[in-house]
Formats: sequence, structure tokens, C-alpha cells
Amino acid sequence: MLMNNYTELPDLELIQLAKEGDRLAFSHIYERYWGVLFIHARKILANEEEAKDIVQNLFFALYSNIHQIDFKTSLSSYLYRAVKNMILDHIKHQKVVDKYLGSFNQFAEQGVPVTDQEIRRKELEKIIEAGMHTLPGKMKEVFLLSRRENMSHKEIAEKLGISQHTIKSQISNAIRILRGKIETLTIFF
Amino acid sequence: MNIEESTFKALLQKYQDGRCTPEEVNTLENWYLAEAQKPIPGYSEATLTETKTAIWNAFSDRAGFSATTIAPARRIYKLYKNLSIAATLVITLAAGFYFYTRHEAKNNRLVKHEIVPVVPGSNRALLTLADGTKVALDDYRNGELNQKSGIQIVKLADGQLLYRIPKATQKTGLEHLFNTVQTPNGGQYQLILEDGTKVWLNAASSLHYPMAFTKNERIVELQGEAYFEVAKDKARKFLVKTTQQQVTVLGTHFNINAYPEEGSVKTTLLEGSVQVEQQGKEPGAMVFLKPGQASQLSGDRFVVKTVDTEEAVAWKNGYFVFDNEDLKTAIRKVARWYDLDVEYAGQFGAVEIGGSVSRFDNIGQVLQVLRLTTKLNFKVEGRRLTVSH
Repeated sequence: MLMNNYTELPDLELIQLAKEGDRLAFSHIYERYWGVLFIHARKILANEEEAKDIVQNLFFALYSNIHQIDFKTSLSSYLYRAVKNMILDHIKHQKVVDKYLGSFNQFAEQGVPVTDQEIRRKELEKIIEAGMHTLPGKMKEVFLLSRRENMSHKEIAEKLGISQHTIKSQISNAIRILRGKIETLTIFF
Repeated sequence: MNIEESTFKALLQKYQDGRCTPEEVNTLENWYLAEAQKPIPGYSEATLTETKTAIWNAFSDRAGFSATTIAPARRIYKLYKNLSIAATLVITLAAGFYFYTRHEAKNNRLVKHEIVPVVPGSNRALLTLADGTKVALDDYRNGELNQKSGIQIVKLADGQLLYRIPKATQKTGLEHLFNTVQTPNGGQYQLILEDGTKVWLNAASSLHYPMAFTKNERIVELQGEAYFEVAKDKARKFLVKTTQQQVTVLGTHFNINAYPEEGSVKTTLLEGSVQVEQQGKEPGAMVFLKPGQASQLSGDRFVVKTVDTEEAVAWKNGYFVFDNEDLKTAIRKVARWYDLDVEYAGQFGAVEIGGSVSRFDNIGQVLQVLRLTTKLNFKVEGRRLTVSH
């Protein structure tokens, strides 16, 4: 039965289903990522309601634009980029930007080590994902599921010496073909 | 480089536009990384669950989703952490089909002239308390409902009603006080009874139960359809009585479909074990079910089959699922949920439907799928659905 397997599907498969109008698939994306995104926003904004708004707006934007978005590498990198953008938007428009201004100036004064942009991007990803440790067992598990998928693709690719992209598309294609067969069977019953 | 507010805001804009110097990018990104590691207070599981639900509800209102598309099984508030579920059982009369639906624009165009203010069901029910007071349960008034008898009845968000007995309260006397929750056409509701048993009521159904189970048995009475997750209690059997049969469980997950208009009572067992007995006859027919089996009582006989249990509980998970279902049975399911009267213009032989569709789609969507799979005509005018060739 089609409906049972959502928790085992990789992120990009859920996205594909969501693009086709599958709302339950979309709700599973929410289940996986809402936690780390909320915790991240909460840390930066230091405000519960604002953090909730950010997450809500983020998923609304994802839902509204899902057809136009090209996820390239992964859903998680899209989401982390998007949440950072929304947080910066929020800070930019705040009436009282003092608390950020203060810390920024402090930072600028002390001098900042020059680091590589790619390293900073990876660091941010690690920090956002570390937020999962704040989540209770079940919620953490749900999040880890999407991480596991990414890991297994990487491991498979390393072992076979082929690109991760090839692995992902092979698996996606297999699932798509299978689903196509099931669809055909039931519709033309 | 001590900058002012307006400069800082301009710098943020520059960053988002990609016009910053590598130095500026370096500073900003490192600053952001530092901000992202600020500590926050600890959150309890309950608070996080509330937050998760609140955000989702706000999102789904805006996006026009239904409240139950969030992965349903996880919506349950974990108030009884040590509670073990001994059995899951669904008693339903409706069968389910599968049809894969595509929410494409062209489908909407075709049904545009038929979309009427017929809305899918929602969390609605009427609670009748022991003293006869009636309370309309809906999604807008949460919180404690009644404290008279020392038991707390709390209306939670998302269509759940919870019974809780504070430690200090004496249970004696409560077993004589009965409540009834009744759902109308187009309604559904979930109860968490005093012992932790969870009951999902489908549309046009009712459950009659004592406020506290104290004696040696836990007994409830059902009309219509409900899905049960019975809390394990070795000392007290759980009995679900319908007009024609009685189901005895120790703790299990099951569904009972006992709509009078369906002509037979279907009990589907997901987990655990149950004994199903005919009522009102001496000696009555009886059968034991294992997980994955369903019994159907028609006349004086139980017929037991192995089934796909997910189909039986599809309604609870927010779907209509039809699997080689007889047309009229499928239409009845849809009619109860959307609150429609059905008229058949002509003779319909053995028409079968297969497929699945969300219960929270608008009626036009559902009918479109039925139309495609059966090649019949479905028209809705006001509250009347007419089926023709």
C-alpha cells in the first residue's frame, strides 16, 4: 500500500510526491525538519513567537513554490539556506535591532578569523543539525531518518566508486517505475 | 568598525543581494554562526509537541490543508508515558478502495460547475454528560469542560477529549455515571478514556461509556464506527457492545464498523486478540480473531477473512480507501462524511470501485475520481448526490 512508506522515503522522494500534490508527503517533510529549524530560529531570535512564525512562513513558502524550486543537492541545504534568509529578513526589519547590532559590533571589533565560505556553510549545517539533540526521542528519530538516507547514499557511492547523484537517481527511478506499475493496475481495474 | 543600525541593516541587505566584499561576508557569516550557538532554555516534550502542532495548524489554515494531514499517528498527546497498548481494533462497515489521485489543474476545471458548499467532515461531536447536560465539541473551545464529579474532562486541540482522574479523587460512584459522545454526519472525534484507552469515532456514530471503569470489566456501547486502541489491563477485560455483537479484548487495536444501514457488523483486528460474540441469541455465534483478520456478522454467522487492515483504518488516517468495493457501499461512506442524501437514477449492477482519496479533499475532487474509475455520472445539487449512467 502506497501510504505506508512515507517514513522510509528519502527527502527528495517526498518532495517529488509533494510536487504531485501529495499533502501527506508534505506533512512528513514538516515532521522531519520543523524541529531543527525551530530550534535554530529560536536560538538566533531569542523569541518563541517569532521563531514559530519563521518556521510557519518557511513551510508556507516551500508549499507555495514547490513546483518552481530545483532542489539540486538536497532538501536540507535548501531549507537551511532558506531559514537563514528568513531570519536575516526578520532582523533587517526589526524595529529594535540593538541586540544584534551590539553583538555584531563586538564581533567586528575583536577581529574575525578569515575562514573559507564552504567551511562556514558546513559549520552552519552542523550547528543547525545539532539542534536535534534538544528534541525528544521520537522527534529526533524522525529527523535522523533523513540523515540516514543521505549517509547511505554517500556510503554506497564511495563503495562503488560512482557519483552520489547517480545512486540517488537510480533509486528514485526504481521507485517511480514501481509506483507507475501500481497506478496502472489500479486505475484500469 | 563600529557601525550604526542603518548601516547594519544595509549590510544585511547587501549580503542577501550578494554584493558584499569577501571580508564583509566573512564577518557576517561568522557572526551568524556565533548567534546560532546561543543557548536556549530546555523544552519539555509536551511543550515541543504543542509548538509543533501550533505551527502546523497556522500553516495548514493558511495553505488550506486539513488539520489531520499531519502524520496522524504522531498527533497523540503522550500524557500517560507508561501506558502500554495491548490491542488495536477497528470496527467498521465501510470497505476501502485505492485510486491514486492527482491534484492537477485540469481536473479542477472539469468539476468547477459542480463545486457546491458541500464540505468535508471535521472534528465535531456532541457530548452528553451524566446529568444530561449537552456540550457541543468543536475545534474552538479548548480546556477543562466539567469538574463536578471530581473527574477532569479536558478538550484538547485537534478533536480530542481526555478523561483524567486526579490522584486525590475517589473512583467509587463514577462507574455509575455515563457519558455519550455522538458525531453527526460529517463529524469525527477522538476520546481518551479514563484508563487511557483511545477511541476514534467516525461520522454518524456514538459511544456510550462510564466516566470511570472501576469494577472487573470495562464496558462501552457503540453505534456506527470506531477505531480502538485499548490500554492494557490484565485485570479488566474491555468490552465493546453493539446492537448485534459484543467484542471482548484484554488490550488491543481494532476497528468496529456497526452502521445499521450496512447490514452487517465488521470487526477488524490490527494487534492483540479479541473474542467476538453475537448478542441477543442463545447460544450466540462466537469467534476469536488474530491480527490481520476481520469478522463479519451477517444473520447468525461470523465469516472470518484475512484482510489488509490498513484499509479498515484508512478513515482514521484521513483517507477513503476503496478496494473492489461495491458502488453503493462506497457512496454511503462518502455520503456520511460529506452529509449528502443519495439518489440512484437507474439500475446499477455489480459496479466496483478501487482507489483512495483524501477525506479532506472537496467533494468535487472525490466525485471526479469516482467518475473516472466507474464511468458513471455524479452530480451534487445542494445536499443531494445523484448517481446516473
